[in-house]
Amino acid sequence: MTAPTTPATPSQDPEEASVSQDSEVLAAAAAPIAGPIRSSLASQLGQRLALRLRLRVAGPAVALGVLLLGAPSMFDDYGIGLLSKALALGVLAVSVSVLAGYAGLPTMGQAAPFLVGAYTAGIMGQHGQDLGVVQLLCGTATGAGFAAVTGLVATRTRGVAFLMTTLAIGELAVAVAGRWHSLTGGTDGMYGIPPVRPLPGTTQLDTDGAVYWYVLGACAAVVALVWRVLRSPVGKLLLAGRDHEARMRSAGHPVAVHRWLAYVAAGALAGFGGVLMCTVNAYVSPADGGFATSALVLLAVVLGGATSPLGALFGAGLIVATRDWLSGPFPGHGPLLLGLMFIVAVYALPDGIAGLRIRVPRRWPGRQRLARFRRPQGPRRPDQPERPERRAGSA
Amino acid sequence: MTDVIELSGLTKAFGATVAVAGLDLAFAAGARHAVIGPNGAGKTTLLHLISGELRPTSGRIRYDGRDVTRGSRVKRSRLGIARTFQQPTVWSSLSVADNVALAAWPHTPARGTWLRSRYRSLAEDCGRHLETVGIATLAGRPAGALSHGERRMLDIAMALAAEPRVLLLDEPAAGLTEHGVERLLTALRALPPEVTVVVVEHDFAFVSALADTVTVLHDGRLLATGTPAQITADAAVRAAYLGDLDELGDLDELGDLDRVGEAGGPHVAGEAV
Amino acid sequence: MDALNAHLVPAVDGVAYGLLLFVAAAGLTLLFGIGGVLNIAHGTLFALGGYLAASVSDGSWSSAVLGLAVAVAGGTAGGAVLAAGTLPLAGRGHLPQALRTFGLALVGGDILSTVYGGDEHPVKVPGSVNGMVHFFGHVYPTYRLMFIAVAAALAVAGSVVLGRTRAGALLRATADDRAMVGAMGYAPWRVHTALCAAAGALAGLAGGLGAPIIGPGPDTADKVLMLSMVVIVLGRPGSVLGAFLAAIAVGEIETLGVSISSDWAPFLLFGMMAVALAGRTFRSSGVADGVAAAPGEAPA
Repeated sequence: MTAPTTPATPSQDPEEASVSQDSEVLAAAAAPIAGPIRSSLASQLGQRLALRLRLRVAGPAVALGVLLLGAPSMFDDYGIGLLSKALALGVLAVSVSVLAGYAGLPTMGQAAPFLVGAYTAGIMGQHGQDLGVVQLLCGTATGAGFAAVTGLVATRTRGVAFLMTTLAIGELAVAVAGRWHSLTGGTDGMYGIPPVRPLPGTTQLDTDGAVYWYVLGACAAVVALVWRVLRSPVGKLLLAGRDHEARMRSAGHPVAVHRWLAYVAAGALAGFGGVLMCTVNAYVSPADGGFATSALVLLAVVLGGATSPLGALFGAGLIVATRDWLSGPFPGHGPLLLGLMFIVAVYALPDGIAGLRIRVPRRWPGRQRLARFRRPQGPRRPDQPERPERRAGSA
Repeated sequence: MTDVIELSGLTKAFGATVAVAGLDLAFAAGARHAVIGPNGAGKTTLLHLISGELRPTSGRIRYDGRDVTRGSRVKRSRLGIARTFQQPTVWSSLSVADNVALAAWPHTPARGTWLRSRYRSLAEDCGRHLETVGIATLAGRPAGALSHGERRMLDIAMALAAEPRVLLLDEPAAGLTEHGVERLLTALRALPPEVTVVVVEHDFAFVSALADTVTVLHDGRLLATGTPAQITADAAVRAAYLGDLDELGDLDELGDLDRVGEAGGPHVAGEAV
Repeated sequence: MDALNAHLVPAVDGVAYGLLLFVAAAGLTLLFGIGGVLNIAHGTLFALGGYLAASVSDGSWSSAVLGLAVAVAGGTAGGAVLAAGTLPLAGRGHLPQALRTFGLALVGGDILSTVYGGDEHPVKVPGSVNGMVHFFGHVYPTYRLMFIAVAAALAVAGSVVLGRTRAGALLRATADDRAMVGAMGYAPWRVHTALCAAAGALAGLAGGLGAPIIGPGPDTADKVLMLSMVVIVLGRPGSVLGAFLAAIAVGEIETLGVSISSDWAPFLLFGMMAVALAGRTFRSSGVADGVAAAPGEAPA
């Protein structure tokens, strides 16, 4: 066994942990290219690269920050409006990355709490409550509440069943929004929502630029919070539950509760994003919560990297920009363009979605028939533990 | 010595296959108890039943006199039952140190371990478990990058970190080098005397070195119980392992284990059948 | 008596709807359980079948049959496209393939709405089955009854094929151990393509046959997809009877439930999922803290 070249200290600094996580992801990405390189070597390679990775992550983050801060002077009103929309969707994408990347629950229904948050803001706005902070708080709360109730059902499933359940929940939410005329205005949507006053004592946001700054501020605050929480031990709990849920239970962790809490938190995030969306558009309709929105944010997460909130933001921006740019020559075909992007992106990112897998819950001996849902065994990547190959009659 | 774990009439059936049949077994507190038997004997199933991964089809499990048959895996872990697995299972995205800290977390009295400062001190504390099994230098490595042997040691360290009252080990020596086995034995011998250790193993040398009591399972039934020396000498055990048909007659008799304990249940090794 | 009468027709409708969902969900389960592909374009293929059948059939029996044939052909072609799209990703697990089919669904949906516009396309049913039947003093729509008979026959035929023929045995073998089937000499890509085509054909058939029940329109694809998934999640994994009962239940909610109170139908659907999934954790035998399995897994 070759000794590691970097002396690792027994006491674990969380920062170092993140470095080793990054290195592991890198090693996983490097493995298919590395081929016959032994797993230990690949991880050492990863550790050396990790330091460079931190620069590489910091680099785009800074670039993103500069771009976002300088945007009002670079773009016209239309472009600023587009950016604001991208930011609102970006928050939704972050919520998907929390569920799909960290909690290991790829989902297609996060547009539902998003819609709930948007309608909350819309209804509040129509009834005279136009304080931005209050709307945000309430939208977050209703999104969380919606997720709390639907989560009781959804978190009973895993993997593909979870995907299906969340899809169904999303569609059901759209159906309800379409039928509940008195509350939501039905399929026509809710319009004429007055502009928002961010804080008590400030004026209404009546220009695209003002709305942009508000949305940017809110988005930055919430994403920073999420990033902090995910880097803390809470993030480790989620990752461990994703890697091997049964082992967590064996250790005494109430994984089902963790999952539900993650689902509620993601719902709160989505609700927050929905409020922002309502503020940007001054209009809410059931279509905002539909298939296309869920597809968009899932693609954003795929593009940006499953476990990176910043990446999710980036992905959202990229998709919104591309779609807008392409819809010039091809008007009215938004879904088509999105679909094509999906098809291409999934193929062109060989292990860019290394962190994103549908995890079939690992089972103990006795569940031999599980084998057909396992991925066909390729060369074992360093991040994959050996699969217990159960044969009848062992021990 | 009191029994910390009592199994009465424990049965586990998977459809038509009966993995464990009507087992009556007790594990004394502080014992070093090995469970051996040929493949298919139900040893791992037995561990699953004790630790709570599986619910029995019928029968009772008592822990410290309390009936825990209905208790979930999480609850039994909190009660102080920790285990390792036939295939070492670790959380591959996290570092080795994180793995041990997370394993210890539900058993720490400290509230708010989700605060970074508390977690950090917990992780430091757990460093000693890594030292016990000899992988302290790997603390920063992602667990997914470990070799099989290292992973097995990590698995054991995770079980130790829970500071259990009952430690269940499923073939811990499998795949280890001689040096690794030595290390493992040292670690197990260093455990506090109140901790009950139940080891499922094939390596009889390991069993003799560690255990004071050995139970033999065959086809889900209890075949014999005794000291390692008694077990080695027992004819029925030899027959079960080696298929020594001349000793016990034809196959029908071998399969009919009730004959083995005609005097009333499985026998203590060494006594006349 | 009147109330009964008023609800009887929707109730029969519900059985027909449920059977339609059963056939539709079967295609989805086939592809997922055996091929390992979560086909999000399933609803799109169904809609395609419906559109094709609607555009070909003009009220005569011959055109109806032709319409059905075209629907099946269209579905099969769609399945082939699916196979081509997902084959390169076969080694990478469920999610990349599901995302691929997601992309295909979006593209397909856009194409359909471009070609056929945003309106509903009611299909013209041959006159002899377009009426009502009088039975014990109640009236039932003829097509529904005929559909029930046809769908039931399909279901029986399907289980016979799966259980008694060599092709069926091969399918079941692939579900259990794909590598082994490959080792037997059946090239994995051939099996994969055949599965996708078969699932597409089933979806197209369901769409064409069921067009008078769930008509092709802009929302059809999403709706059918969602309902199929609900049926699969509800049905006991590995049990055909479970899926059947789940399908009927969902069908009844969508027809009877809607006729009783259309506002509450979505809540009812969600409530049913809640009940079914909550119940499942207590019914799992042998698992201490029951985990609802992914559909198709062997029951505990």
